[in-house]
Amino acid sequence: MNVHMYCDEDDATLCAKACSGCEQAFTALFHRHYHAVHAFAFRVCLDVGGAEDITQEAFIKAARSLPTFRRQASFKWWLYRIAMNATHDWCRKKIRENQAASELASAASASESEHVANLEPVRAALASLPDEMRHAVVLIYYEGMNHAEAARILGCAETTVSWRIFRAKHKLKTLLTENEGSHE
Amino acid sequence: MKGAMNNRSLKENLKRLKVPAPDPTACERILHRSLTALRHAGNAGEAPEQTERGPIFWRWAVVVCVLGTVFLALWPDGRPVLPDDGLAAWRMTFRQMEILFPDRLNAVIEQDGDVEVDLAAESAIPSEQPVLVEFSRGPHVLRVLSYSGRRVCVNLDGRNTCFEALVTGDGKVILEGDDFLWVSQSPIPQAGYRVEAHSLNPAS
Repeated sequence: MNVHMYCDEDDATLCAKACSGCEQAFTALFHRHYHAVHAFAFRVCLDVGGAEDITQEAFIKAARSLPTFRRQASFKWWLYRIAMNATHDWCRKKIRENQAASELASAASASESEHVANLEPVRAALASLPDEMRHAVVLIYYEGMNHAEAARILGCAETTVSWRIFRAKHKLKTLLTENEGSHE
Repeated sequence: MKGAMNNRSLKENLKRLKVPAPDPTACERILHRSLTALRHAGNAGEAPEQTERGPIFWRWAVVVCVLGTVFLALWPDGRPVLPDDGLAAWRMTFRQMEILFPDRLNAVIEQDGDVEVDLAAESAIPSEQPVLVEFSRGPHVLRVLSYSGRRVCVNLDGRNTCFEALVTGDGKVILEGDDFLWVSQSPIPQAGYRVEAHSLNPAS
């Protein structure tokens, strides 16, 4: 499959061609955004397997929903919105699995906190944030969105994003400062 | 225990998060499954029409002409550009600037009659939470019209002061600087300047 001829075309053109069933165009879109969506998914869920699941779900849903994509929106942000929804589904699934596991093993919470403690400091700090705060941090700090854009992706009010970011920054600063202090 | 971390250090720390490289076999598998989904989706949707975009030069030329006209109309006798009669007037001013710079306006900074427009390099989804921040000391007033969550840098007595104004759910404004936090409930002066901040959203 020769996708190199599509490298110079913008997302909108590739979307239009993919909508018409052009698999090379979709493949070009896939390769253009795959690593970014994977990195986004990893930062949101902080789990290697989860990032793969979310990335897969996002691209499959995007392929299915491509005919409904409105060209006024950026394809990238549209894809991220799908990925964020896939993340919510993954998180819910994870919570259910953890609840089931904790019923089997009473030591689950202890092993969970041990797991968090063994992560690299930034990852551990992000992991300790509530999901909705971490999602906002990823969109603002890693994806470079403004609060209005993040609010669209997260499906909440801008003020909610602002507040989550404010709280998250305070918490992250405290955790990372403590971590720096403990290593000195 | 070290002092509190500032925003710059926080950003540097966040950049240290390592993202593991994706599994190459997973990439192929996901592509294959996505293409299968694309085939099943079929050609249900017609390809939307391309949006015609005029040359950037002409778009900017029109913007500059309109901007010049508005500034001349508002500034006939050397008065400061921005009106000074309440939040409604500021709201209107900001809306006019938004029309001139759709999706690119980051902030309007007015200091002692000089106006500076801070534009984003790329267009972004416009915010629905405009804010007005005033720094005043004696006759000197520096006003910032921006949006909740945008980082704005101003010069206060030769010192570059950067902050984000955050509108809370109840319409209050918090200013979060690199090394200060200002809340309307306890308005502590910054660098000797009295600070006031208001949401320009009529709903708040």
